[in-house]
Amino acid sequence: MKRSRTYKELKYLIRRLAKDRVVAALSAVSSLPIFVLLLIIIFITWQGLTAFRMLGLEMFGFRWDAEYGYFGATPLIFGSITVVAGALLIAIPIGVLSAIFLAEYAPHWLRDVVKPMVELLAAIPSIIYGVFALVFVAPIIKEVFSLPSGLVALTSSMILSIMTLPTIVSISSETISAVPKEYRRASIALGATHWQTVKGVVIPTAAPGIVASIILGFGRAIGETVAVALAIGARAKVSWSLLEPMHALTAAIIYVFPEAAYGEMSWYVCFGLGVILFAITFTVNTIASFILRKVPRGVIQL
Amino acid sequence: MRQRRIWEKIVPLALSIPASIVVLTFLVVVVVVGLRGIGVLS
Repeated sequence: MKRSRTYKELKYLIRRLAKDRVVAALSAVSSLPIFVLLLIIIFITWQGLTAFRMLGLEMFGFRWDAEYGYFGATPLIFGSITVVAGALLIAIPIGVLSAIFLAEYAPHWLRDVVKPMVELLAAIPSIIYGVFALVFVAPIIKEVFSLPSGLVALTSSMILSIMTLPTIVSISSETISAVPKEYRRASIALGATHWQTVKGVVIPTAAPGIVASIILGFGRAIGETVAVALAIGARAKVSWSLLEPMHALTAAIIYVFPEAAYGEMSWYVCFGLGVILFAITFTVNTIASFILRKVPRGVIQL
Repeated sequence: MRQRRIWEKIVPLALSIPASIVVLTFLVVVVVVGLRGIGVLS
């Protein structure tokens, strides 16, 4: 009797140990991405801080000319933010209104046709968008505004707006569709029309999700490299006009880095630009997660 | 009441414009890149 009890206890212990080991192994595997992310952050920051230490405030100067040793990043930061702001100005109204239409008014068959198209837009590689900007958008911009070259900030903004549209449309329409039917029924029971329900109940409830989709779109746009590098014109200057060539953080990295040798100033500066870019995206994503926390639990879950 | 009914008709039409812009954008991207790819557009 005693023997069998000990055997059972032993069996239980072995099972528990095995279970603990599985849990430990799964924890180790799941923490791997965090470890890799930390390594990336440490490496980029370590390399990038060298540039900040060597150049000091010159890193935020107004002249960028990597060939002649001028590494002022202000025109690049300004260019990146301007181009992305232009893209969002185009993409937000079109994206959010399309999402409302798809979620609230479009018949099922139309939704089934349009949604895969939007998803396909997200699946197109950015180099294709870059080529599209070069062969289609730039010549039109050049003709319409009578410019010497179509490779200006507006061309980049237009391409980035096409690239951010799928993010905004798909996430916004999902959040709008996720608003519980009870909310709509209650509004309609009070005598509101469909549009009044959408305007007064559905959109305010889905607002945090819509804002989050816009911020995720911003994240995609600011980190975009190839399409921007091909279309922006690569002239680093601070200008308020979207009809002039500009330069962006990502484009500068892709232009300078392949020619930079290890240990050169331009090598470290590229990492410094990476740190700035990382700081911008990190800030934006943190804001997005704060906004998403405001979404009531059980109402919308992204 | 009449005004409400008019709004109910106008809003879906107005909202369909941005949705058609999205579809049109998709078609233009696919057609331009596709035709360039097969050499029809130069």
